[in-house]
Amino acid sequence: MPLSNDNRDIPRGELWRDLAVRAQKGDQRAYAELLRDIIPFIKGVVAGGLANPDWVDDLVQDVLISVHKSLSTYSEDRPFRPWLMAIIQFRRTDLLRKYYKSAGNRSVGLEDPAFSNTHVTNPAFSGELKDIEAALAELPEKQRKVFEMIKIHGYSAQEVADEMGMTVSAVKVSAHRTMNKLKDRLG
Amino acid sequence: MSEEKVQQDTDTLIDSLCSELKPCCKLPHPFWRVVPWVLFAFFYVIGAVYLQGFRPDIGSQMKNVDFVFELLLVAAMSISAAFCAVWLCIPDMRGQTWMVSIPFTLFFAVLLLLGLRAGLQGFVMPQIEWCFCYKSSILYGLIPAFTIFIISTKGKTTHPDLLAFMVSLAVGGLGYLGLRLVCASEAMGHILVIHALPYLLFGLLAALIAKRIYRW
Repeated sequence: MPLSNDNRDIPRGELWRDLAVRAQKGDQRAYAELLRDIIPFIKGVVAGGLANPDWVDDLVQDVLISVHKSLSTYSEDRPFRPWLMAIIQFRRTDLLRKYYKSAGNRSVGLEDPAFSNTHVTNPAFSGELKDIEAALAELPEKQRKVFEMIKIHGYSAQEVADEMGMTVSAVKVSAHRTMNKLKDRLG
Repeated sequence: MSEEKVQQDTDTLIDSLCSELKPCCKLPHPFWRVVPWVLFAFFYVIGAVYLQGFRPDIGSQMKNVDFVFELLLVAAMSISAAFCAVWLCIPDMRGQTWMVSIPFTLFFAVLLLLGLRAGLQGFVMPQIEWCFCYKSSILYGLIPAFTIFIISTKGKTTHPDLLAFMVSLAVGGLGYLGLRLVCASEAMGHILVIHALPYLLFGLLAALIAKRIYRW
């Protein structure tokens, strides 16, 4: 029976099939080996298709749980890989569907200077995100300038304080309040 | 979350899954799961039709090629949908994904046949009221639907909406067959609205809530 150290010559598909069959019989050691062995494969399949790399690990764990729940549906007369692939695709679609259904993909991180530089202050994007521009325009001049310098141009609180003739803590409080105001305004 | 923390979480998860592992009963081959249902469901419907009484003109209708063709087409759709439903209970359908095309093709053929007939004969909207056909629909559909539902929940599907639709197509096809054998009406309005539409709506509804039914 193949174990961790003597299975290097066995093709992955056959090894997984063998481990899955033993897992179905209740062999916990084979099961642990199977679950650990399929992780790189799952990562390889999903990594390219996800916008956010943080999701990969969540998805891997989802797939492992799904494999556990559906182990009884695997049949040893069939290759293991297509069975696993079907579960991976299902879980990936499920995750993306949940993501696109939620409002998460439509909210914008205002505190992200890279985004603000390309989308908020760049004239090429002036037609987009009019809500943000309008919300910024509504702010008092001094407050807007503090916010733009810190959150959009990336100056430090000290630099802004020097420029505006304010204390560092006043600059931080102003930027924080502006951020909250914009969040309230934009939902 | 750091790489190390994620790895720890995954290791903990694997340990937990392994500790939960018990010898599991492998799901039998889908063929051996669906054949008993097909036999049971067909004998059940034929038995129910026999008890309710066949339509008075059944003798002459069985010599009518159109009528027999329609029954055979619907029976083929129902059987293929039942097969497809049970294969869909396996995540990869055992590699037989082409199976889905058969019940769909037959379903569209049935719709085309009924549509053409409605076009040729004319469609008159029937009066919607609680009638014998509705009661019969429930009688023919309920037990086969319940049994195939139990069978379909034994597996794990990666296509819940499709599975629910196939289950409905299998049950709806059977029910439609039964209704055609007991109800003497040949009016297309009655056949489409009273016989076919409730099953179709049931199928669409089932497909819509399928994710809640076939949870992992």
